[in-house]
Amino acid sequence: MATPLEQLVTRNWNNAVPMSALFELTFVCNHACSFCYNCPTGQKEMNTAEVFDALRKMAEFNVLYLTLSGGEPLVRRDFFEIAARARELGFALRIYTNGYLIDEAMAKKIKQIANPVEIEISLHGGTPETHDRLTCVPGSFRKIVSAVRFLRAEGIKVNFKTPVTRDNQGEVLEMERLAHELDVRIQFDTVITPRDDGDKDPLRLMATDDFLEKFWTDDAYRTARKEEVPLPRHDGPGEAVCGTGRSSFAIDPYGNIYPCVQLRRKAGNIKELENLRDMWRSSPVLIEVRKIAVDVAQKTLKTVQNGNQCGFCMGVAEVQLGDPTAIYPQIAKNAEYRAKAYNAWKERTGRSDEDAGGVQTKCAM
Amino acid sequence: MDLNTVLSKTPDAAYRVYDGLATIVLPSRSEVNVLNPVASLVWDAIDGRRTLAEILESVLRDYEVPREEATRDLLEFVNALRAQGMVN
Repeated sequence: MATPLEQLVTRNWNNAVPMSALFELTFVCNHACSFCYNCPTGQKEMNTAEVFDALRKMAEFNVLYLTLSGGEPLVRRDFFEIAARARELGFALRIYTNGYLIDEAMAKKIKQIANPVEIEISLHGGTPETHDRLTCVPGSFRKIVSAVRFLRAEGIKVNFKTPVTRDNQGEVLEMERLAHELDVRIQFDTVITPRDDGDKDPLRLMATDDFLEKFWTDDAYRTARKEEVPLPRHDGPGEAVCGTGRSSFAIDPYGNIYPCVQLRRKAGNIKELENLRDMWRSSPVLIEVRKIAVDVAQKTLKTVQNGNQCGFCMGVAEVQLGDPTAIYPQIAKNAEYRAKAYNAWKERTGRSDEDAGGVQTKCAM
Repeated sequence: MDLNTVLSKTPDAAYRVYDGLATIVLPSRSEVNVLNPVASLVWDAIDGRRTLAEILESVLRDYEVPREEATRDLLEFVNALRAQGMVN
């Protein structure tokens, strides 16, 4: 029996009522990660008044969860003005940051003004050498470790987000230990994405096949992957592959609105809209994206090998291969090893799909 | 607490109403609550100005329920909200 919250989320998902949005406040960043997907265009970013106006429109559109992201959102001098306005407007905030600027005083200010549901911090290695090499900022590892301690002292929930690359794959277990020691959750992402402009250079950092196989099949990584066994997806009739243009949307620092943070098809610009509601219902981009998302779940993933083990992202497929329905090599490789682990588990335990303990969570952002 | 009480929502609570159901997020407790339609009406009406008696009248206007029962349920509900730190 689904809980009232689960029923509400399902109903909103089916009716394409977005409960969350991601707002990239700036593309400016104090790190220089080689695999970053952001592509600043040099346009003027929204000023405080424009950001406030965008927040008002999102609140009127009934968005509940708002992620303040970047670039690095905390480099904006008006960050706390923005956070305060967002709270006044009734948003539940998440902040996605590299943590570099968070000292004790800022952690207190974050708690007092933004009072976020959680903060997500990028962790790129289990040692200072690896993390600092990937961010290109000496001392960044030490800074984020202390940032997490300050945030936890304020009672703020923290999640580490970690793209696994061939440079840090050897430290996954160390990163997990660090997260445990700091009392934070850690989420590893084994799929590296191209830049938003299609530049595939970050893909050279993709974790090795040997590592991916170990990650998905070796018991040593069981807690790191958060699943006893890689859960298959079960897309029911008419269901979409993910929440792109459906459960959420994203806004860049110039005000452009996208179906999600990864799928950069412009649906409009929030500065030019009277309200989001009309655009949300009538935008040809969003209508098409929702249809493709259903097609991917109902056709593509039901026909390709290991389709039910693909945490498929239409945005990556589009930017990398020019086709939002195409299977990209990173996802195929991950799905292959996930399926191998899953089939071995079934053979070993004699249990069925239904016993796996759930289904793969769909991407809602 | 009695019907003359005036309550305010805690500034900590983030919330929206979907299909008449108030969905409330309390960051400090990492909790999300979805209220039923009557409770949502009460939650929405708690504004730091209206007394519980005025809120009770709104409930009675919208729902056919005996006054005594509605009063008891209302006081029980707002007490629970206060115990959870959602109103003060």
